[in-house]
Amino acid sequence: MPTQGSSNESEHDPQLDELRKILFGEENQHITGAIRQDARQIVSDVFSEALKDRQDRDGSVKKVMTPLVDKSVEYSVANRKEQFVGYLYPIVGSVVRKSVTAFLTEFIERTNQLLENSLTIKGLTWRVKARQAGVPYANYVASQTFNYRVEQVFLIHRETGLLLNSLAYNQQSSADADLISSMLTAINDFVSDSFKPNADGNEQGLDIVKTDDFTLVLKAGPRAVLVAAVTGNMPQRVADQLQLTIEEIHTLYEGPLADFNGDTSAFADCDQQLTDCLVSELKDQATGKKSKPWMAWCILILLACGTSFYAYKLWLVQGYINQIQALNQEPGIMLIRAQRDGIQEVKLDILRDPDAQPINTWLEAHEIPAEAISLTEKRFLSLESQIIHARLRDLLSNYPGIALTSDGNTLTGELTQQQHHALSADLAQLPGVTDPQSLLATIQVSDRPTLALDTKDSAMTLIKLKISLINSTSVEFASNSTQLSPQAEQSLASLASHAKALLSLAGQAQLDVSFIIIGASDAKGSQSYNEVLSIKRAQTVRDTLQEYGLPSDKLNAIGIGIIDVPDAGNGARKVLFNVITTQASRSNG
Amino acid sequence: MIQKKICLLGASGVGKTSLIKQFVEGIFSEKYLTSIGVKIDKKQVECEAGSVQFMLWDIEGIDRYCGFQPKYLRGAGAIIIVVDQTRSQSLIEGIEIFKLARDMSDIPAILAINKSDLDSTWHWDEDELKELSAPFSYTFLTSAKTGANVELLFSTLAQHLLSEAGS
Repeated sequence: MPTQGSSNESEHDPQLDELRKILFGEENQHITGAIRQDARQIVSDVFSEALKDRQDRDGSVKKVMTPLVDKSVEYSVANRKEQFVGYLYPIVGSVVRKSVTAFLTEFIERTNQLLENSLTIKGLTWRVKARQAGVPYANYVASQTFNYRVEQVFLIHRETGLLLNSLAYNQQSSADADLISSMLTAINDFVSDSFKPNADGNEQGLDIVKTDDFTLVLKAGPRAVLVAAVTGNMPQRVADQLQLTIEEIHTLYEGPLADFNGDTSAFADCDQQLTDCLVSELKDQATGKKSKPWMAWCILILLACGTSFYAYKLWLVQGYINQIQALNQEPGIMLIRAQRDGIQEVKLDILRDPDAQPINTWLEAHEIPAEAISLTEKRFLSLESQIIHARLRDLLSNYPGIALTSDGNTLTGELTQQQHHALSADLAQLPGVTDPQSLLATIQVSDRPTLALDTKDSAMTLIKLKISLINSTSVEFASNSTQLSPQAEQSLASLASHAKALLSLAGQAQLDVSFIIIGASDAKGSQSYNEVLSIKRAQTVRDTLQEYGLPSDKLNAIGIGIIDVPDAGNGARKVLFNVITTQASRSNG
Repeated sequence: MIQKKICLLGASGVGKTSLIKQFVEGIFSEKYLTSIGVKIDKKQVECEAGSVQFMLWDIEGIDRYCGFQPKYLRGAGAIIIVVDQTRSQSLIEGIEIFKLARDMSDIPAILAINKSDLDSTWHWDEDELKELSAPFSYTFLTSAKTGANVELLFSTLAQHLLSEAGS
C-alpha cells in the first residue's frame, strides 16, 4: 500500500491539483477572493495592534511614518493655510513667549559660557594651545569637552561614489560633502586595487582612516557606504551604530539603491537614520563647582574704576569752568572763552588790563590748580573806574606828596610848579582820565623853585612845555570890538601865570624870552580900519598882561590886519601869542 | 537634480586637467600640472530638461606602458576621451584607452580633440578621423585655452544624460 500509495500520490497529483483548483479556484482565487472581500475588515481589526507591535519590535514604523507625516503636514500647510492658521492661532502666543524665553535663557548661557571660555585661565590656556596646535578654537574646545563626537555622516552610493545624503553636527563647518565622498571612493578604489583580496576573496576596503584630529569610519553595505567623521576617542559603539544604520538603510531603500541613476531625492528622507549616527559623549566634568570667571570680574572692576575716575575728572573740570565764570565780575578782566579740553584741562582765553589782578593770583585765591588751566591772555585797556583808579595810584607813587581822595575824583597834596606840570602831562596821557584839570584843581602849587635840583635838560623840557602852552593860547574878540570877554580875561590870567613861570625858568636856564602878541581881525570893513583894530586888540591884551605883572619890555604887540580865511567866522577875530627865545646875551656879556 | 560621475581619460599632457579647469572655473592655467592619480571637481549644469551635477574625475594621464585603474570607471555616467590634435600618438592612445573602457561598460563616450587653438600637426585626414570617431556618441574640437566648445561639450553631455534618465 505504501508503495502503491506513494505511486498513487504521484499519479494522483494531477487529480489533487484538479481538486485544489475546484476548492480554491485558479491561482487560489477563491481564497484570495474571499479574503479580499473581507480584507478591509481583517486589516482594520489588527491594524493598530500590528503597527504597535512592529514599532515595539524594531522601531521601523516611526521611521517609515515620519516622512509621510512630514509630507502630509507640508501639503496641508501649503494648500490649507487658513485652516492651519485657525488651529495654530490659540497656541502661537504661548509658543512665541516660550521661544523668546528659551532664546533669552540660551543667550545668557552662551554669554556665560563665552565669558568662561574667554576670561578664565582655562579658556586662555585652551586658546593658546589651540593656536599652538593650529586648530580652530571651537574644534579644540570640542576635543577638550567631548570624549568623542561624530561631526559629519555621509551616505555614499558605492558604485558611483556619488553622495546620497549627508548630515553634519555643525552645518556651517561641514566640508564639501560631494567632493569628499567622491575622493573617499577614489581612495577606497585605489586601496582595493593596490592590495591583494583578503582570505575570503573579497576586495580590500577601507574601514578606519585616522588623522591627527579625525577618525573616519567607513561601513560598507552591498550598495552604499556610510562614513562618519569622528573627533576624539571613538568607542566601538559608534561603529556598531553605523553598522546598524547601514543595514537599516539597505532594508528601507533597497529599490532606490538598486535603481540609482543619479537622482538623490529619494534619499532625502534618510536624515532620520543618519541622525542616529550623530552621537557624542561629554567628558565627565570633574569640576562640578562652577569656577568663578574672576578675570571677567577684574576687567569689570577695572572698567568701573576707570569710568568713575574719568567721571570724577570731568566733574572736577566742570566745577572749575563754573567757578571761572566769576572771573567776568573782576574789573579789568574779560572772559572770552572757558571750555573743557580733554579730561583734565580747561582752555581759558581772556583779555586783561595790565593793572587788573593777575589771573594766577585769582586762581590761587579760588583754589583752582594752575596746572588744570591752559591760559591764553591778551592785553587790553579797561575804562572801568576801579582800573582807572588803580592806574592813578600807580602814577601817584611817583608823587609822594599827592593822594587820591576816597571818592577818586580829586587829588590832594602840594606840588612844585614843575611837578605840577609833569603830573598834568602824565595825567593827560593816562587812558581813561577824561578831565585831568579837574583832578588837579585841588592841588596846591608851591612857587618854591626847585630847579636847582633839576638838570638843565629837564628845565629845557619844562620851558618847551610852557612855550607850547602859551603858543597854543589865543584870545577871541567880538566883532568890531577890542573889549576882553570874561573868558578871555580868565585865559589871560592863566597865560600870565604860565608866562611868569616861563620867565623865571628861562632866567635860570640863561635864556632870553620875549612874547609877541599878534592881533588879527576878520575881513569885514576896510583894510586900514582892520589893521588899526588888530593893533588895538593886541595892545589891549598887552596892557592886561602888564597888569598881571609881566614886564613891558618882554611884550611886543603887533597887528596883522585881516586874516582872510573864508568861513573862519569868529576864528579870525583874535589875538595870538608867540614866544621867542634866544641865548641870554646879557649874562654872557 | 541628478548627479553623474564623468571620467576624463587620455594620454599624458593632452589637457584633461586644463579642460576641467576651464569648465569649472572658466579660466585656463598656463602652468602644466600632471595630475597624480585622480583629481575630482564638481560643477552643476543647468539645461532646459533639468539640472545635472557633474562629479568630474580627472584620471591620471595614461600611456601604453601602464594601464589605468579600471575601478575609477565604476559607476560612471559617461567618459570623455581627450586627445591632442598636435600629437598623432595621443589619438592612437586615446582609441586604445577607449577600447579598454568599452570592455568594462558601454556608457556614452565623447571624443574631445583638444588644443584647437593650435595648428593641427597630425597626419590624419577627415575620412580617417570620421572613421575613428564613429564609435563615440559625440566628437568635439575643443580648446582649454580659449574655452572653445568646452561649455558646449558639457551641456550636450548633460542633455544627453537627462534624456537617457528620462527615457
